[in-house]
Amino acid sequence: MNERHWPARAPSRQALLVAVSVAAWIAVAPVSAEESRACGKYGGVLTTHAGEDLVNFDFHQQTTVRTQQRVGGSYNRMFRYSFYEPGKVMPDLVDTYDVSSDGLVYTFKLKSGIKFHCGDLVKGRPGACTDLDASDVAWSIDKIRNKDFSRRAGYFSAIVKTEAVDPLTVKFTLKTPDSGLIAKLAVGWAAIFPSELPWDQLKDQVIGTGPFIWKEYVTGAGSTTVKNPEYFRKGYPCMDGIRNFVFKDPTVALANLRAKKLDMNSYMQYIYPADAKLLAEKNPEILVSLPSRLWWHSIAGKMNTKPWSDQRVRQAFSLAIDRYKAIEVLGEGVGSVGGYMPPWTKWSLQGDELAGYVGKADAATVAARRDKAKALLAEAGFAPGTLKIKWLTLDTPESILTPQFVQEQLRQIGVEVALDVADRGTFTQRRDSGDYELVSTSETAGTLEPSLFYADFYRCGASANQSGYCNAEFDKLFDKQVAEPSEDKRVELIHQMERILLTDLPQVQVRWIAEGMAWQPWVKNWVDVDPVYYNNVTLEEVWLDK
Amino acid sequence: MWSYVIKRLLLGVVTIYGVATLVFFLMRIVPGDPARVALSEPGRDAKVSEEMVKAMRVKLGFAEVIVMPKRSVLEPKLGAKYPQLIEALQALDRSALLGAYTSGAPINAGGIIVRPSEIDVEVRNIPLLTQYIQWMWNSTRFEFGNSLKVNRPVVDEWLRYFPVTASIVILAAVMTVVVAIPLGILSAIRQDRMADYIGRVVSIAGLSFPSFWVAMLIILSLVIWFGWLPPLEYVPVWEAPWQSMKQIFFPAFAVAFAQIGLMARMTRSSMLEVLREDYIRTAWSKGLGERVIVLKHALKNAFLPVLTVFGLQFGFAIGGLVVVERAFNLPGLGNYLVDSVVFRDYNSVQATLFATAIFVTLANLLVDLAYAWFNPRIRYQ
Amino acid sequence: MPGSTPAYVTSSSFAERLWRIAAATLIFARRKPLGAAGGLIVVGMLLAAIFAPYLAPYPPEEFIDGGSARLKPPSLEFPMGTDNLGRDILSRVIYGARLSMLVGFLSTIFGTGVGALLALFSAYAGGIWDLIVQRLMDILWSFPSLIVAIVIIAVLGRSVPNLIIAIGIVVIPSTARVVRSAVLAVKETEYVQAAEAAGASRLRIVFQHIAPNCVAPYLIIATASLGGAIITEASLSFLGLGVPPPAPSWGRDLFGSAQKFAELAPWMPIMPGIAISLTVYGFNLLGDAIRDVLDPRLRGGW
Repeated sequence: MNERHWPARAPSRQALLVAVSVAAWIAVAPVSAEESRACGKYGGVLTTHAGEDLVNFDFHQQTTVRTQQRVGGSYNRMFRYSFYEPGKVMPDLVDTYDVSSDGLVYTFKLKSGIKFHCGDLVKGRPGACTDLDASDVAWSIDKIRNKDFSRRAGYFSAIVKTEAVDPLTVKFTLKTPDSGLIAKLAVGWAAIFPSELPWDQLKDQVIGTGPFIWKEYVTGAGSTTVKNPEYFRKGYPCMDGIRNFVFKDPTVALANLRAKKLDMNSYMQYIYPADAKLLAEKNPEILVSLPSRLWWHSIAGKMNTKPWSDQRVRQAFSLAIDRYKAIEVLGEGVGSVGGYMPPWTKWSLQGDELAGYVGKADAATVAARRDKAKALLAEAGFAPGTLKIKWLTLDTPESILTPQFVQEQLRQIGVEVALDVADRGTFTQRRDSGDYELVSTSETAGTLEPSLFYADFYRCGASANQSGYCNAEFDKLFDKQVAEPSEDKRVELIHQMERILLTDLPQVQVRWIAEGMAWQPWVKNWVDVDPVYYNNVTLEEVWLDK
Repeated sequence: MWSYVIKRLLLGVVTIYGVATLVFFLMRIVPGDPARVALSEPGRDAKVSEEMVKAMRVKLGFAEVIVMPKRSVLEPKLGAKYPQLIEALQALDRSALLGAYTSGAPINAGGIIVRPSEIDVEVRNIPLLTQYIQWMWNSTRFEFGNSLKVNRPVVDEWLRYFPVTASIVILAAVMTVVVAIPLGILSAIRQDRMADYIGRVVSIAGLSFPSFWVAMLIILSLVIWFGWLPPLEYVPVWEAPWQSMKQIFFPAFAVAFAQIGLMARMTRSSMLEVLREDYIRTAWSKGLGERVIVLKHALKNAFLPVLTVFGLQFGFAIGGLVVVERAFNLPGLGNYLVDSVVFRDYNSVQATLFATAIFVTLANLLVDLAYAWFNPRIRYQ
Repeated sequence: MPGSTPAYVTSSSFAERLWRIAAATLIFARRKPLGAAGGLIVVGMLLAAIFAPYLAPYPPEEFIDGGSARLKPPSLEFPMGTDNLGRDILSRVIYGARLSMLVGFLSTIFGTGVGALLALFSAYAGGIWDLIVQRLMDILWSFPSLIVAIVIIAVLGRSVPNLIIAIGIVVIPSTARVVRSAVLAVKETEYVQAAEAAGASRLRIVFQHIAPNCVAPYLIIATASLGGAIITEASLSFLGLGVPPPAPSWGRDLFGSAQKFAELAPWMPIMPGIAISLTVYGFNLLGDAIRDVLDPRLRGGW
């Protein structure tokens, strides 16, 4: 997830947390029936924007949703999230399904009569105009599972075999039960593309079954999609197309939004808190929503290299950071302080126990924690002023903010952090080859499914395990909770895992991000369902009241 | 005369190839593998598998795929068809082949199905020297290949971005000439008097403000106080002149701001040089009618050095253009070039700088020729 | 005039020399008030740079009140306001003078120095050397200067010395060109030919006869390049290539957060921009006046 953007200003942190918990975050389990809202009017082109150019169209090879935000509307998934209520999953391409009693075999029956995009725009492209069948589903899921062609392979590690039993039946065989499988099949990037399209061509082609056909992408100018007249859901999409501009400068984007030239802001470039305040004062008719998101900033180092390998150093870092100040200064007062699970959910540790790990807002606690940090450093052999460490960071303004803040905080305990600023090419090279001491991370999860938070980041050998953390006890607990049917027991297991992580600190959490979405009053049937950037990309039921 | 031109042309060619070579090696010294960058998403830190990087390198043209069928397995199986298989394998698309091989899927080579276990596939990096020779050869034929970032021909990308930059540059040039030359002339005629001081103060101010700051100030004042915005889409000037003008007027102004200062000063000093001559002074003092003639004569002579400097400032002008394009978020060549460097899009950078070098060299040559034409003393050097 | 020795070199006492310099400066100030104003600005900036710790009300890197004192408009407490991290902008502007002066002067000295020396030797030597150096200069000239700087920084990394190199390299071709024409102008004179005939070593000829003729054009282009160097540093920082934080740098303070918060806190982009513009303005005014003095063709009512 691109960590660029600033949260909007909210009335107060308390009010926000209350509001969010009232929204009733629930784990996703059974699939709900399809509910839909009608199109009030047909026609119109939605204008929205993104902050950066696409690198290529293969959203499995990207770890942010930058690509998916733009191509997502051209695909369907086996399941999808409700457009209106958080956490609800409903079938998309799947008609019915059943699970074997041991939870190891899933059989899905697909809806019939669904075609991949057809027509002049996609003429001659691999898979165009073909029918959707089980082999396409198996092909797509296999790509996601293949770690050489996808960075999300860890999500579906439980699947050992995919099989197209007959043209409309797909069978997945798992090696262990996975209570979150359906939820994972509903995330935005679990999209289904034709089996005639070789995996490596997904980088250049967008062919799906989705409500909007991909027309073109012009670097620097943006993407255009056009209504799919043969979309399998009759009566949808409501709009004629989506025009997604590229505005590198967020000021320009906001100005265009205020001047009513943009219908909606970008999932990738949320409304800043300052901007939300501006909107509230000058453009109150523009709708703004500002929940906490499944998105966090943290610091990663290399667990096998000094000094990060010393747990006391990591703990000192964590103790030194005033997280509440971070929210105030970096987050404009909006966001949450927590551990590795979203703090507003039951999966996270609560109250004083959590505060013991992540701190409190009052100055006395902050000072006490800093003293403890200094003591730990001294114990580890670093007198004040002797620990010097370099932090690799990308040279964009957003990326550099957290490191700058933490640099100053660490200065207070006598640690000298030097910022190693690199441009994208150098940054990726060095990060991938491990040529850094510290690096900042900005990570997201697709849904509130707890195993997703841990799957990519903290399991041994996971695809996004930046720090090299490997704890056998943690991995055992992970496998246990994935297979655990009782939710209360799961909560308990996950709390145990949280405690392990908060002590071992493979990555030091800085803050949880809250950011805003803004849209014009004539954009109907659009609800900010978090994580909206993963799960509300088809926009098929959105209509424009103009 | 002709020998002069030919000599200059040859030297120009040497320069251009020098630029091509320098760019080639410079880009490869800069750390950062284009394949890795193309796969990257900074901000979310997941490692890329080396297989993916290799596949991308093949796709981008930095590595080749060597296929060797396992003879002991396949020859008995295929018999007479074996040589056919070898040929068919060589004809397959490299990326597709690699993809199929890595995914474990069967490979269709001209009708013959082989399994990945029956062949050996190796990805080998193309050596630097080979790449260099390829580049030199391609650039001579003006074949610039595809942009590594968007997988479209570089020339297509140029055609997309060129109108934006060109319209800004042209409009900026018009603005500059319209404002700077009268300013310079006035300054020269009224040297060391109030008009001159004001003229110099203003033109030096123009030189002193960083162009991107001017751009930021423009955007700030327009957005805050007038609620103004550029149109969302870029439209070329021949399609919708008024809308296009709304878009490029302010960027052109930001670029022109610095150039006005420079040109006004050049005009001033150039005019002063001409006006210094005795016979000019005499004519000037004779009265209004003479003054007009003097001005026309002075302008003609002053023009050339101004043009020279203007042409030579081209390199610096691009710098100003880049930051202004960035600040106004315009899809122009300057932005494209900077992005290409950041994304390690070797092909785009090499091609664009090659083209720039040609342009600059030609421009220099034309200016020098014009100079030599009007100034016989230099012609015979 | 080539080879003329300055008038006040021998036998005067130190005090007399000082008096003469002061007098010359005052005459200069009266004749070229604009240049004097420029000189004043430059001196002011230099003083700010040197005495920054005494002038700045706060440390430039400190997040005042832990960062809570952020985005405050200019007031008595914070004459230029605070930025989005709670740092005092006035202090950052004062300290920023250090970097700009340092980078400005050093990169100009480096760049013009290298360019001048290259031109001096290659133009005098003539022949194949001249041709090669000229081609090299042409090649460098054909590169958009910003791209050269970007690539150099990408290769070498972000730091003050690398910034100096990157900016300095940009100035080499123009200096070389100017010095080259000065060398050519004097190379064929009787003066030099006589020295050659007398058997003086080439090195001696270069330094005693040719070099002094190049001083005036060199000074002109050097002072002209100073302002440009500072602007280049600001532009590079604007593109994110400048010195890494938290070092106070005018250019970097205009990058990123200043743009983001421009509408809410316009003092963030305005203040450092004024500092840059004022400094470059001062350098340009001064340089302009020096040029007027040194370039005999342009003397008006002297």
